[in-house]
Amino acid sequence: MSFFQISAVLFALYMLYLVRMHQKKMRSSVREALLWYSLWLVFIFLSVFPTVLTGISNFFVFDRVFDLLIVGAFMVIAFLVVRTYFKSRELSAKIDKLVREIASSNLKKSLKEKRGNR
Amino acid sequence: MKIVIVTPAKNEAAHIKILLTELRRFKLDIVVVDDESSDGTNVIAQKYTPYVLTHMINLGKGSALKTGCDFAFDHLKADAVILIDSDGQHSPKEIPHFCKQLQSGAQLVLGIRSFQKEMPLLKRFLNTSLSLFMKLVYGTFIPDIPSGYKAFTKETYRLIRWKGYGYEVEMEIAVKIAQLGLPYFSLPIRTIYKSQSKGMTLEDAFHSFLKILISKFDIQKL
Repeated sequence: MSFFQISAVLFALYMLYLVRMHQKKMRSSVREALLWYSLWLVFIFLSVFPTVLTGISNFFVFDRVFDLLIVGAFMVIAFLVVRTYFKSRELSAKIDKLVREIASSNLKKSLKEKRGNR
Repeated sequence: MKIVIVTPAKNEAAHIKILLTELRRFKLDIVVVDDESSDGTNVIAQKYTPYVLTHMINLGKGSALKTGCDFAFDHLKADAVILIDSDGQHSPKEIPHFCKQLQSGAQLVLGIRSFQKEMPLLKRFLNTSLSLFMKLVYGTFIPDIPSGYKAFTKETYRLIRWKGYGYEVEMEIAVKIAQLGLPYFSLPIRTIYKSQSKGMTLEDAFHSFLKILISKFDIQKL
C-alpha cells in the first residue's frame, strides 16, 4: 500500500468517527448514519483495492483510476456547492421576510398599546 | 395625496437627530427603519417619530427600505413615499421639491446629484460608468443610479419592489425602471459627501455591472 492509500484510509476512519459522534449526539438518524458509514466503508475498500475500479475507469476512457476519482469527486463537490448556494439563498429570503414581519408587527402592537393607554 | 418619508438607518446616532428635526418641519409622517443599530439610533428616533421599525438583525439597506415602504403603504395608507438616507448625504430642504412633483402627477422622482468636486473622483467615474452601461444594455440612460434620494407612488412601488437586501437596491430599481420603461422626473439635488460616508464600494459597483447584464437575460422574463 502506498502512503497515499494509507492517508486515505486514515482520513476515512476519522470521518467514520465523526459520523459516530454526530449519531451519538442525535444529530443524525440511524438511516442517515448507516448511509454515511456505508459511504466511508466503500471509500476505505476502494482506497485499499483501487484496481476494482479499473474496468470503470477504462469504460470512461480514463488512463488512471485516480483521474476517475478526481473527476467524480469534483462533480460531487460541484453539486454540493450549487445546492448549498440555492439553499442559502432560500434561507436568506426566509430570514429577511421573518425579521421584517417581526419589526412591522412589533411596531403595530406598540402603536395599538399607546392608543389604548390614551 | 398622503406622502410619507422613509429613512433607513444603521448606527446613525450622530446624524439622525438633525435629520429628523428638519424633517418634522414638513408635517409629514416619518418612518425610520433601524437596521440593528448598536448606538441607540432607534431610541433617538423614537423621540421624533412614533414610526420606528427595528430589525432584530442587520438585513441591509434594501430590506430596510422594503420594511419602511411596506409599512408606509399598508399601515399608514400612504399614496407616495420619499426615501431619504439618514447619514446626512441628503438635504431635507429638498423634500418640498419632491412633494411638488408627486402632487403634480409624477409617479417616480429621482434625485440627481451634480457630479462636481464634492463627489470623489472614483465615485464620479463609477457613477457615470454605471449609467452609460445601463444605456448600452437597455438603451435607457438613468443618471446617478446609486442616489438613494427618490420618491414614488404606491402603484410604482408595486412595479419596482426589489428583491435585493443591500446597497444593490438602487441598481435593482434602476434596472426595473429601464426594463419597464417607467417615466420618471429628474430632480437636481445637492451633492453632500462626508468623509465617513457609507455608500457604494468598488465591489458594489462591480456587482452592479453584473446585475445589469444578468437582468437582461432574466429567465423569468423569457
